[in-house]
Amino acid sequence: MKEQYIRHIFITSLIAAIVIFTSGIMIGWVLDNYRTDEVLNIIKNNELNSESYNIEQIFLENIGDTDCEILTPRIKMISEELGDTGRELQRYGSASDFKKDEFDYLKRRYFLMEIKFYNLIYNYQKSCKDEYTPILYFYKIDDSTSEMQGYILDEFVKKYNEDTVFENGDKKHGKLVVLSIDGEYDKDPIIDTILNAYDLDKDNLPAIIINFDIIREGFVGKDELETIFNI
Amino acid sequence: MLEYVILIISFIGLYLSIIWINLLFLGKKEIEEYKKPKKGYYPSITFAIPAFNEEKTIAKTIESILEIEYPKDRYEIFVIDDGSKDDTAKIAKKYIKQDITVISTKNNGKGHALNVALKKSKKELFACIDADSYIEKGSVINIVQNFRKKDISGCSSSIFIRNNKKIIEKIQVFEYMYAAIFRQIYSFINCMYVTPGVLSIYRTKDLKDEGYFDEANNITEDLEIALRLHSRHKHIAFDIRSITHTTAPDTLKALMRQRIRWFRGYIYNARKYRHMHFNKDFGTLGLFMLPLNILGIFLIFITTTIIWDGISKWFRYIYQRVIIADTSIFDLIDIITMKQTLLTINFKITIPLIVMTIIGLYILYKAHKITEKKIDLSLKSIISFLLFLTVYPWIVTISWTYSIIQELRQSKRVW
Repeated sequence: MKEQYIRHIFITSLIAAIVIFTSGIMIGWVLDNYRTDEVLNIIKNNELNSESYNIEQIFLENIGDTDCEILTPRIKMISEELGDTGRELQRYGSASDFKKDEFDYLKRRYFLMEIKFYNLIYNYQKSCKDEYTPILYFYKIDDSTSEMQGYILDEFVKKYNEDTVFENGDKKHGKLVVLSIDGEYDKDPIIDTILNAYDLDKDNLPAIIINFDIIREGFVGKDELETIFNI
Repeated sequence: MLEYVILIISFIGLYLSIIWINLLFLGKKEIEEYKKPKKGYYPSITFAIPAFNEEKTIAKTIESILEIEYPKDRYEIFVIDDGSKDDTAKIAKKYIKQDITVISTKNNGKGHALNVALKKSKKELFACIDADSYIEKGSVINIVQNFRKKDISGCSSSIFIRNNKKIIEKIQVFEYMYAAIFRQIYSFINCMYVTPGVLSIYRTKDLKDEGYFDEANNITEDLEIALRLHSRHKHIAFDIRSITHTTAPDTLKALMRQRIRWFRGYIYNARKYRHMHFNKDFGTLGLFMLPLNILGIFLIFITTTIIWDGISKWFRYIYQRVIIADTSIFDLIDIITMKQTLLTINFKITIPLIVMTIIGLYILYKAHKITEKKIDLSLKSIISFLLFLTVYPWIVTISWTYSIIQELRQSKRVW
C-alpha cells in the first residue's frame, strides 16, 4: 500500500515538474516573440530616420545649401539610436531561445544600418568637416580579446566624446561614434567586402578603422588609442 | 551545451523538490501518529558510549543520559574507553556509583568499542551515543516509540549543533536542520540509509543476529550497519522530535576532515553494498535513494563547475572593465527598465529556480516548526544561511574530490 503511495507521489511529482518546467518554456517562447517584435520596431524606426536623413542630405546638396547645423543634430540622434539598438539587440538576442534565426536576421539588418550610417558620415564629413569621427570596430564572438577591445572603446568614447575636439596632425577629430560589427558574420557579403577593402584578416580580429583611414589589427590598448588621437 | 546541462540540472532539482514536498505532506501523518508516547512502553536499553580522548565532554554526555525521562531500572550505561590517553576513563569512573560500567579497551576503533558493549548487553535495545553529544530529556522516550513497530531494527534522532556561535558552526546548523527533516522523509519511504552515531538505537537481537558492528577498516560504521540491516530487509526509522546535541567542527580544517571521513566511508560502503543499487528487491531505497546519492555527487560537481564558470566570467568582466578599460565601478551598474528586465529573464531556468527556492525555504521553516526550534533571524544567521547556499557546496565538492582521489589511491582511511 505504502509502495503504491510512493509510486503515486513519484508520478504526480513528475507531472507537476513537467507542467512547471513547460510553463517556463512557454513563457520564454511568448517573450521571445515580444523580444523580436521590440527589436524589429526599433530597427525599423532607425532605418526610417537614416533614410529621412539621407533624403534631407541629398536635398540640401541639390539646392546647394548644406547646413551643418541641421545635419549635425540628426547625425547625433541616429548615432545614439544605433547605440541603443545595438544594446537591445545584444541583450534580447542572448536571452532568446526560440528565435535565434530571427535575431540573426535582425543582426544582419542592424549591421547594414551601421554600414549605411558609416557611409552617411563619410558624406557628412565632406561638407561638415570632422565633427563626427567613426570608429568601425570588427569583433569576434566569444573572444575575450574582442570583449576587452569593446570595453576599451566604450570607455574611450565615453571619456573623449562630448564636445571634445582634438588634434591629430592636421586633422581635427571629435564626437566619436563606434560602429561594432561581427567580423565573422558570413550571411552578408558586405562584411567580407569591407574587410577586404581594408585588407583585414578575419583571423586577426579584433580590428578597428578610425575615420576611414587609420587601420589597426589586433588588440589596441587605451594608451595606443590616445596616441592615435594625439591626446 | 552548457545551456542544456543547466536545463537538465534545473529539471532534476525541480522534480526532486516537488517529490520532497509531496512526501513531507504525506509523511506528516506518520509524524503525528507517534507524537504521544504510549504509556507503560519502556523497553530496556543499553547505552554504549565509545570514547577516545573525550575528557572535555564525557561527563556531560553521561549526565545527559542520567537525566533522561525514562525509568532508571530500564536502562544501563556502558562507557567504553577506547585507549584514551587523557582522563576520559578517570572522569567516567566517577559515575560508577550511579550504575555506570566503564570498560577499557586498546585503541581498536569505534566499531570494536561498540561491539564490546554489545556483547555484554542483555537489554532489548542498544543505544549508541557519541561521547561529545548530549541527549535531550524527552528524546529517548520519543525514539523508543518507533520500536512499537515490529519491523523496525533501528531508529535515529535529530542532531542539533551545540556550539553555534561561529559562522562555520552556524552554517552547519542549517545543514543539520535540513538533514533532520530529510531523514524524516527518508524514514517515511524506508530509505533511512544511515544511523548517525550521535544517537541511534537498535534492536539488540537484530544487531547480534546480523553480525555486530563492522570493525574492519570502516570509518563510518554507522552507515555500514544501516546498509547491512537494509540489505537483510530490516527497517530503520528516524524520529525528528528526538533531539541530541553534538559538537560540530569549529574550523574549516576540522570540518573538511570530518567530511572527508564521511565521504570516504560512503564510497567504501557504497562499493560494499553496490548490489543494492538499482535493485528492485530493495524497493525505493535500491531504485531511488541509493542511486540518487551517487547522482548527487555528480550533480554537485557539475553545479559547482557551472557556478565557477559564472563567477570566473564575472570576475573577468570586472577585471577587463575596471582594470583594463578603466571604467568607474558606478558605470558598471546597468540601470534597465522593468520591461527590459522582464524581457531579459530566462524563464526556463528562473521558474524552476523560484519554485525550488520556495520549497527549500518552506522545508527549512517546517523543520524548525516540527522540532519546535525558534527561527534565528539575526544578521549573523542570515549571512550563515547565504554562505550555506553559496560557499558550503564548494567545501563539499573539494571534500568529495579529495575523498575520491584518496580512495582511488587506496590510501589508509583514518578517523
